[in-house]
Amino acid sequence: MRFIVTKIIYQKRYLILGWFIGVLGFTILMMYFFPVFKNGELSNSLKGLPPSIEKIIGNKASWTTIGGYISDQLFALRVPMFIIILSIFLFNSFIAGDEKKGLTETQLTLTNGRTRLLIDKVVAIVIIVSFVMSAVLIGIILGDKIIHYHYALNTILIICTNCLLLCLDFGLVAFLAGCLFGRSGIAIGLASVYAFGSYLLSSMVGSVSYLRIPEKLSLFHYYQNNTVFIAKDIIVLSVFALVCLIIGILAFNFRDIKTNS
Amino acid sequence: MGKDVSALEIRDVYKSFGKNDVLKGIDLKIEQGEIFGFLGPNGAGKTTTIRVMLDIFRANRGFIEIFGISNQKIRKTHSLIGYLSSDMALDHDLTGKQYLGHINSRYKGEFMPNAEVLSNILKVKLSSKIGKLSTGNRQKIGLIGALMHNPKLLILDEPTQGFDPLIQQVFVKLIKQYKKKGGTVFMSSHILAEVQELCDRVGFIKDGSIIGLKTIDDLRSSSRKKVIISADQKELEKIKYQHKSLPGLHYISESGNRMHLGFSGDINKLMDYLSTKKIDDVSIMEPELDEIFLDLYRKDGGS
Repeated sequence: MRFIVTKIIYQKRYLILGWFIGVLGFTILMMYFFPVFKNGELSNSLKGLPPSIEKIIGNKASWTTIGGYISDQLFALRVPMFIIILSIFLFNSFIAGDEKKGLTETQLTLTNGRTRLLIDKVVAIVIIVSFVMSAVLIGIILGDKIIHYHYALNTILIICTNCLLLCLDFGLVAFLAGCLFGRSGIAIGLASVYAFGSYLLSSMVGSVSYLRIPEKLSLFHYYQNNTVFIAKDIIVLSVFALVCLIIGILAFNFRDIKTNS
Repeated sequence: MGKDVSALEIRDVYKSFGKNDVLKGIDLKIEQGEIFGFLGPNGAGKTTTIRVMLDIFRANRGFIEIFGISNQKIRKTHSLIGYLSSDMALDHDLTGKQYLGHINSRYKGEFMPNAEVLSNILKVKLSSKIGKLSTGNRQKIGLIGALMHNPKLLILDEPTQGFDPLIQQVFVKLIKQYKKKGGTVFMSSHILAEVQELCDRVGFIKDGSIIGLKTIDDLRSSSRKKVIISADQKELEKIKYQHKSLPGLHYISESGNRMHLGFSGDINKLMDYLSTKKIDDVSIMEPELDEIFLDLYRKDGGS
């Protein structure tokens, strides 16, 4: 495997393991709660809450099926939120973060071309994020066994792929900002604001009609947290990733690298 | 790669950061097997020149070739280069051995035995995490990383900062051995004794321009020699008032029955001049590089 890819994975081995175990545990725990949601025990206790609060908790109607529960309780917000944080953190850390520490300068002196260096870093991060995402998949399968329900593997795969693409896209915003400016603060700030703004727009669009057009700028608009596979949405998310990647690489190739002195 | 190709050629290189012009038309040619010292005060443009050479900074204008290959073809040129700077950032969460192992795999070679030998010479533990090492030991890891893959060109930016005097001596030995094997060195340094001992040629940079380019020997012969004369007070007085009769002779100071003079020019004329005086003793010494350095900057309008 390539030098930078193996180095990044090795350096982040404890972080990867920690996130994997954390996400796996969280997913199994959420699966374990399904019977409680399904039997309506929780729905009864939530009666009388204002609709806005209910929205945060999720769509009660979907809790009666395992598919609806997974879609609503895992993939609507919680899993994407965790993995988006990881993705932004990694892209920032290895692009703008490395540059801030002066490591990019050192890496470039070791026969790494600029484009290759970036591609190796992106490959390493995609591997790490996908690995952590696989914890969700494994968690659902193990959870299924614990609570004696069955949910088709291919449908979980579709949601996980969608979610993975969404999370990588937000990370690639940090990548793009890092490549353009080489500044960690800007990279994290822009990616986080875009992720939060996107979520806010998409969650409010149902009740605020004039947000329908601007909401198309939100990546959550193209994210399906259910079993529906919409090729157009996958294409939009993929093209977004590709555009961030290409602009980032071009910008990085034409500017001075920031050094620590 | 032919023997007739220069190790490094920099032609008319300009670099500015915003409105701040840092390099103003740098021209340099370093031949294979040469140790070149790059000298200049802080902020003169030494590190910027090196970073432009390594394509870390992109030049606004000009060409740089490393063994005849454009410096922007990093993957080709950097495999020929070993680089060390005084503030080189290394991966703190790796041990020295892991870091050097990554460099070894980067150069697709079997260079770890070299790294082991160098670590023994430099007395640095490779099993410790880089982040836990002192600045000097981190610098040693950087030096091993620069040398272990037997590069054809070593680019060193203030390489011995953080080294104790003993390790500085080891460093000088290592560079001499490297030169014997045919290596080329481009080195910026503030330690003039080190430059004097190692370099074949030096370049002086000031305000982004090269103001002098000489061999160490040329530099010494064209520079003001130190002349110390011992004589009685009467004779010293005479010399003090008549020294201008010999062009190139400058009065510097006097203490007791000794007078310090500076001389630049034909040494035979100085000998003829002194033979007409009643002196007890005379010493003529080569100037130290730091004196030459200061002289050069003063002549160029520096402070």
